[in-house]
Amino acid sequence: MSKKDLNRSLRLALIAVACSLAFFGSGLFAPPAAQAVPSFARQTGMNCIACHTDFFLLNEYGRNFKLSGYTFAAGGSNLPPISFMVQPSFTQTGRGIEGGAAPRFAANSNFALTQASAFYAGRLFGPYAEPLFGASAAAIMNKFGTFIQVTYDGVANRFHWDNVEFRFADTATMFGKPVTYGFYLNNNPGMSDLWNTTPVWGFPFSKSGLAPTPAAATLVNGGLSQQVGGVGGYMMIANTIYLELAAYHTLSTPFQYAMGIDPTGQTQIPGAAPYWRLAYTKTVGNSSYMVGLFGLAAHTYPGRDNSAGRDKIVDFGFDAQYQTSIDKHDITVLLSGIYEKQTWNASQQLGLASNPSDRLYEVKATVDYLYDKTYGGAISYFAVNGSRDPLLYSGSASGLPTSNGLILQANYIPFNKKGGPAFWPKSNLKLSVQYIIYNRFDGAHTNFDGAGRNARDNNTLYLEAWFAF
Amino acid sequence: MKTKTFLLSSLLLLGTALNLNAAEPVKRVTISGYDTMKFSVTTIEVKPGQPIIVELKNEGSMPKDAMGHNWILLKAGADPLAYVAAAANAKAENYQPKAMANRVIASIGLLGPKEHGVTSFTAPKEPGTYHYVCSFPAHTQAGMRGTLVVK
Ligand SMILES: [Cu+2]
Repeated sequence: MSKKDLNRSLRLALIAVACSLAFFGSGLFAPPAAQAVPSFARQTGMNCIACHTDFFLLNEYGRNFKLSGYTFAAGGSNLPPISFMVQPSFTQTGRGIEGGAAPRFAANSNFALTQASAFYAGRLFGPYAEPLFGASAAAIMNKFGTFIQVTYDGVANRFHWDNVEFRFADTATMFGKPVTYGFYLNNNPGMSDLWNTTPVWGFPFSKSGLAPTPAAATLVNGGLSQQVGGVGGYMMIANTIYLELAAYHTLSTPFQYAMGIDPTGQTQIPGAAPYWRLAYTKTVGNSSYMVGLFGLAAHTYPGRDNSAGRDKIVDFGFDAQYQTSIDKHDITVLLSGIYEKQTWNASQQLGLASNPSDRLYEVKATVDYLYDKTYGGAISYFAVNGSRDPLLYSGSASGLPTSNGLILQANYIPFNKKGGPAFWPKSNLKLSVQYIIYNRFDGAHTNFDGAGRNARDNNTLYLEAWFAF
Repeated sequence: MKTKTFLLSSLLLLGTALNLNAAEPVKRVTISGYDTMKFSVTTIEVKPGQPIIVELKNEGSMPKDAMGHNWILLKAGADPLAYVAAAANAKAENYQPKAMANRVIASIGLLGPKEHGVTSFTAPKEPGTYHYVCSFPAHTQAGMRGTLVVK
């Protein structure tokens, strides 16, 4: 990035932040903040910080809320469980992308609406189960909860269903130990998870849709989001041992189109793919620990092409999380590693993979910090590596999936501590500056695509104002 | 005459108390409550009728309205989950619903970060297991509970 470009970016960035503030301050729009879903806040009668540190990072209370199926209520709110999120943003990459960062966008320095979402999240019948069904039936109805997100993607300029989950949760006693158990239907394996180490709710919590991202990623890391339907069950035993098992199947093309998802080129699961999760968690004083395993095993049709049989993809994930609060400091350490074994019975025949089998590894380590619930930041190291496969990684001149680098982020969450403005208190706003630095991108440090583009050309400066209300 | 009776009965009571004290020394327990919704002490053993002093310290740092803690000892047979379900809707009463006060043996009110509270009472004469909870919404379900064992 030349100095002139940098000056321009900074100026634009300032304008972006100023516009967001003006937008918010004008009061035209009901105010701000989080995938910390404000309808949850209204239902529980608490502010976002009850469940989140740097949203949407969950704390112990937030994990328990999710475990109980989004159903726990204490607020006495009689509003429907609906909330919204808007993310105006600005993106600047190290070097522009010829032909535009996306259709309708310039090569570089783009303003965008990263996402605008509506949520129906909380108890399935909101606060209305009792008036609708009477007290005794409501006691059962209120064990059903939902997290339904519908998103307008301002980069692709389309509406689509986002993460969607229906749950039932209840408590019991087994062998004298308290147990919370539940069942769910959702459209993204790992969406159900309680920690922020697994891919769906992992760091970064938001990122640009206008910057190149590495081509290689494991299947469990976003490869099936919103394309599949799954049914699962889970239990937390004595607040210590968490067990979960689910099965996923790719949804039909007409249904996906109806939900705003384009099924072209998807990795299709024609049968049922198991997803599993085990975790051991413990609290010591004001700190909590978790170590766990997760994974997915799928027989798949590459690009929805069933003419050459099935591939087999198995993901083994390991993760660990440490979270502590010491006076005004909230610190969370997130670690995860995923090993993927790919067997290309079909892909090789179809000319999509060079090798009969490949391996892929992903590692991520993040430290997230928040001071006084207001000022925060994060630093994250990420790496992807694996077998060389020129056909599979056709965008890489070396045929390698290798990418690695750092993500640096600074956050300012002005209303987090005390809640939003008096007329709409369950709201929030996060202003963030994120910088992604690539050391390697799609196989190389320099000229990774064979056309002269270097890893650092994809370095991304991303500014975002995240409103939730 | 009235004064005499009063003095007499007071002396008698004192005598009983001293007598009990002589038999069972006062049990002192200090419990910490944390932002992770746990009590540092989850089992307390006492003798029937033993005098007890319980101190609760909120060692967390989160604001009281998001992470307050209290300590409520329930009578035998009182369902702790039923009590906390009613408590969750009793924010105005600091999560100690008056309608269920008859199920409570002793309690320490809601504490914010770095605050502490004390209560003293006599253990039930009836041997058995008595539940205690933090009735702040959802804390009991998250593990903030324990038992007083009288034996
Ligand atoms: Cu508590």
